[in-house]
Amino acid sequence: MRVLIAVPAFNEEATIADVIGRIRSALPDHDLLVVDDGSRDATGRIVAEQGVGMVRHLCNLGYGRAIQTALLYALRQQYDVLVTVDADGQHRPEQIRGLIEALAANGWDVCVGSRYVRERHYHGAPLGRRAGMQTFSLLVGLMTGQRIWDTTSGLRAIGRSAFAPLARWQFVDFHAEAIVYLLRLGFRLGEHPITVAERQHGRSMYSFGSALKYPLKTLLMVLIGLSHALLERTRSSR
Amino acid sequence: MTVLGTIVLDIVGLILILWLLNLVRLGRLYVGYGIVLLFGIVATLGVASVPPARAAVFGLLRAFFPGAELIVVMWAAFVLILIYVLSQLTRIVNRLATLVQELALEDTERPRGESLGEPVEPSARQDS
Repeated sequence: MRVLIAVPAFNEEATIADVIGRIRSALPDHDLLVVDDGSRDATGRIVAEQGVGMVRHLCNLGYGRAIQTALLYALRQQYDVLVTVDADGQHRPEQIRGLIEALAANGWDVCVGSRYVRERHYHGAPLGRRAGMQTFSLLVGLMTGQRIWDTTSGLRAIGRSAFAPLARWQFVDFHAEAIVYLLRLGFRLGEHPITVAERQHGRSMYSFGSALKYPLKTLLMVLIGLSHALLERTRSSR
Repeated sequence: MTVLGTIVLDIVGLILILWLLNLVRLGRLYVGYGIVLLFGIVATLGVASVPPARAAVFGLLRAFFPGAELIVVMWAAFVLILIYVLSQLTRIVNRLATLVQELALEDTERPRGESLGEPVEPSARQDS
């Protein structure tokens, strides 16, 4: 099985070398690709020095487009599984193998690395984020009949079957909207428990302004993702 | 405004909302623009459908502009032009993003030493 580990990165010079090193030592047998999303700092140079495969956007396109680029790369290079890992060092590479095994063993198309599926509680997260995660998890459950506890996780293993549908439609963050879209298209998704470390450097990609915009954008995209999947299913069944 | 006028306005607003949602679904309108426009349309429909709110807004408009009814027509034209311009802008941005992605992927597949160059100064929109 050919596995590609993709790390979308934007201005992550403080953590990217450490993330690459940890992924390499935990998974030496898998290919690694960094999607440099038009970083203005030394991220691109550091990745080049590490001798890791890199796709470099000439300007910043956003997280969704960076993931889409990784999907296109995996599709063209005929990988079987794509694993997305955040570049801020929060994810533990030693847990990736478990994610890939869960994907294969359960016959899932996507396996989401979930911080909350084991306890089924949103402990530790700030109140606003907790409310958002609870809302979107419930919404996904209502719309698809399957509860996904961690809709915002950046650690995911995506099987080859889901590459094309994910690469061809526009997603904002590949969060709840992508989950609803895939589930309504008939793909199988599951969650595998993971733990994350605290962010050591830099800022989250969600500023105060985007924290206000995020729920509205995601809610609209969830509704549109649902209708888009239903329309696609109706068209393909004709 | 008569009851019939309000119903017609609500139907037109609903059609506009469905059109907007379809544009977002097809990737022809950026979701952020879609939200702003949806809020604007829903707020306008809300004001137009509730007589006291409508009277207050028209009263305020008449206080500043003698031809308040004309401003409503201008407002409707402005919203339609705005949707068209934002939709065209989204299409250009999407094409540009696809081009950047294709260049990046091609550059990766190119033999080492033939790189397309350093990243340029990023655009104003930076999401990640």
